Amino acid sequence: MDLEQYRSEARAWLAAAMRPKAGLPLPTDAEDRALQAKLADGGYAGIAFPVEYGGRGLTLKHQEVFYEEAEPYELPSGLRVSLAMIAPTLLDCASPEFLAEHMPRIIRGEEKWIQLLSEPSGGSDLAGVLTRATQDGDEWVINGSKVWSTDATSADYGLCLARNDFDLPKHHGLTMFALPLRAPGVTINRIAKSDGWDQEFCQEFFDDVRLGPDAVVGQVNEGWPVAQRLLVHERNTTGGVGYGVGLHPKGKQAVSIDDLLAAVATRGTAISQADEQLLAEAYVNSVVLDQLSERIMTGFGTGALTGPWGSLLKLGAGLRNHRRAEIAIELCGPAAVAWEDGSDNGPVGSAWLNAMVVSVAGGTNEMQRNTVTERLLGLPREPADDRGISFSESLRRRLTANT
Amino acid sequence: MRFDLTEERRSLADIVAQFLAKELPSTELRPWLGAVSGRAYRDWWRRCGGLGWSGIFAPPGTGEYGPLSEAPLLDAALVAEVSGRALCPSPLVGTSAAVAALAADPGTAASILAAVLDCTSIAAYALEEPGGVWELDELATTARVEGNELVIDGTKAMVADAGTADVLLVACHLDNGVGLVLVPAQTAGTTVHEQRGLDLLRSFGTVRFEGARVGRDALIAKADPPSVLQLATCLQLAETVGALDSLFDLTLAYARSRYAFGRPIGSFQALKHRIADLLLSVEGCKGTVDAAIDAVSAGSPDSDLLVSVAKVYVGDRCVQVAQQCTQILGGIGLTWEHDAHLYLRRVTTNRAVFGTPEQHRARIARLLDVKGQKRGEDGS
Repeated sequence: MDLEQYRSEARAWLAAAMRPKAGLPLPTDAEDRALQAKLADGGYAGIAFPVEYGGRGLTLKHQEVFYEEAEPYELPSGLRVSLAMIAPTLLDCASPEFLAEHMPRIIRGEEKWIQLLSEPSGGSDLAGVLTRATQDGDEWVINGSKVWSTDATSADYGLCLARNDFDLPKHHGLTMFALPLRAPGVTINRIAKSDGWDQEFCQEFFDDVRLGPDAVVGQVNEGWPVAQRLLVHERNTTGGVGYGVGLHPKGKQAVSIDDLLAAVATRGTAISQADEQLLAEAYVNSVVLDQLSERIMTGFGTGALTGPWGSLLKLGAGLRNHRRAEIAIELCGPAAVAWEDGSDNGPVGSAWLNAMVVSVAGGTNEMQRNTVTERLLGLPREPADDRGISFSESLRRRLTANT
Repeated sequence: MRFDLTEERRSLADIVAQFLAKELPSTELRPWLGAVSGRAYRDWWRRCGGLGWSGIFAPPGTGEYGPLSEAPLLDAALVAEVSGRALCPSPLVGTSAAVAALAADPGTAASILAAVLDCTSIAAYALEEPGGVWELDELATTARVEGNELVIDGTKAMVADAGTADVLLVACHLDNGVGLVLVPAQTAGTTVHEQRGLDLLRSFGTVRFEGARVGRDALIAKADPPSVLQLATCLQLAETVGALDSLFDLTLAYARSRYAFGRPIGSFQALKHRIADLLLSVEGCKGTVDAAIDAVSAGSPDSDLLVSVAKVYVGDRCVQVAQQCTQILGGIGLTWEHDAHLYLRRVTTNRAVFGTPEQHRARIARLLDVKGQKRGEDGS
């Protein structure tokens, strides 16, 4: 469908069906799901997903246009992982039967999915997972722990990477499972971030969680390629490209330094030339990251770019967020560290304490730098000591080295 | 280069790249070092002009010259980027500024326009003034009306090609604001001093006007000085992007082929991670310059803001990238023989011309009204 016609139809529908978001608090999980169902009823959910799985069969450009128009309206805020990371991964890797069962529910917000990848013992070396999947007749029994999953408490399913064969090399004995989070044996704890109140992240424990054979996503022993697809979609989403386009607030409306101006105002002194330099720097950093993401989306669109360019944007976001928080601290001076109102972290404390979240979560800056140089520029990998040996052998060596 | 090029622009870029690969490979750059002036330079520019570089902004109806498309800035930026890759010496920016100014007012100086278009005359854009003054309303050079003449007084600095130029496009204050005046370089009361400069593939000079008299018709009355400045800045930015991209490519090739400790140095994370950051900067420069060019080309209301955003980002990043590339190149990057320093010289120079990043950050703060002065004045 012609994009401009689509845009005007979407605009009219939004004005009739959705509430302006101004002044509203972020929706709760139940409200998220209701909002997503409303989008689905209007034909604006799963815009770029295939029709046979409950989508609209349009392009990512249509998705972008819709979310540009939808920006002023109340939209689901907690379904990004489900819709932009998990759903495209399932499309890439899951069987038609699996997709027919789950995709329509994901698209309508009836099923909310999260990622179960990182573990307490390792995040960057993701393929080194220790969570164990043991076959018992037809069933799989899962034991272990996952961490840094966003929103696990309100989700229905997790895409869980587990090791079913310890005698194969690290990347080969892995399988990806669809794990129902309300199954017996699943315990979910929240993790408070360093600012003391943000509890976005969770840790899960699995004690003899039993799954049927249809819980396998893709093939047994082929979990790593699924995880890699998931990572590509995650980085695209974090960068606001791929299936994540539009699901992140971006564009000119989002590039604002109002938060920094508000923070400076708490200081009670006039804006100096040095302050102007910092404010303009923060503005430039954010605008250029948007412009870069625009460039990359265009490259994807024309086919000039392929590969994990989302990693470059993720790296950019990690560096930008840290610098922005640094600028806020610098601008506020003493007002950043002592204040009289009742807030816990003052005008910029939360942003500062969480300044490295984007640099770490979803793959550290360092891992993005590896991906960018190895996969986009073709530079060789560093040698690894656990390549070509069984995973159990590398665990033995680790234990020997530590004793 | 941008990804959404039309077929025509793609072939324009190819033609420019092939011409430069043949006529100006990096080995042929050496004779130009410190010698971008005089007869050889004029001959070289005539050859570039033969490819249409001089006429990109020409108004329709100027014979064989004339716009290649409805968006000449996009065409010119492409030429600037590709020729920037090759560090090609050329008066492209000054010529484009003069032709674009004249195109707005085709009645003025038709013979000068014709000479600039056929490259028998070289035009220079005399904007900046000593002390890093580049914003139009801060210029001190004046053009005073006396009878049928304009009398020009003031000093211009950082004028590219000042020593070779036949005609100067001078931004000066008139009674009713800033205007662009065409001053033949031979005009009495006009003194050019060639400067020595960091960029050996370009020459700068100062121009002093002491009661220099030109006819009143030398004022290009319909030209819009802010638009001409935007255009010149965009071309400079595109050229910087080309140079950066080229330096990054040759650094990358070196990181792949240079071996240490039995493997390519590009496999070591200490260098790889730096290279990832460089890619981010180089791609960011491309994205922001394209966005600025699009905004200027479309006459968008935020074009001033987006040009300044690009000047800040590219200005800051280009010198970091160039020095980091030198670090990755190691010993060879420190030599006269290697081209790395030619790129470093070029991008450092461009960073300082048409406003430094610091000056453009101050301008952004003003445009965003961070002090709330405009809001205050509105009473809102």
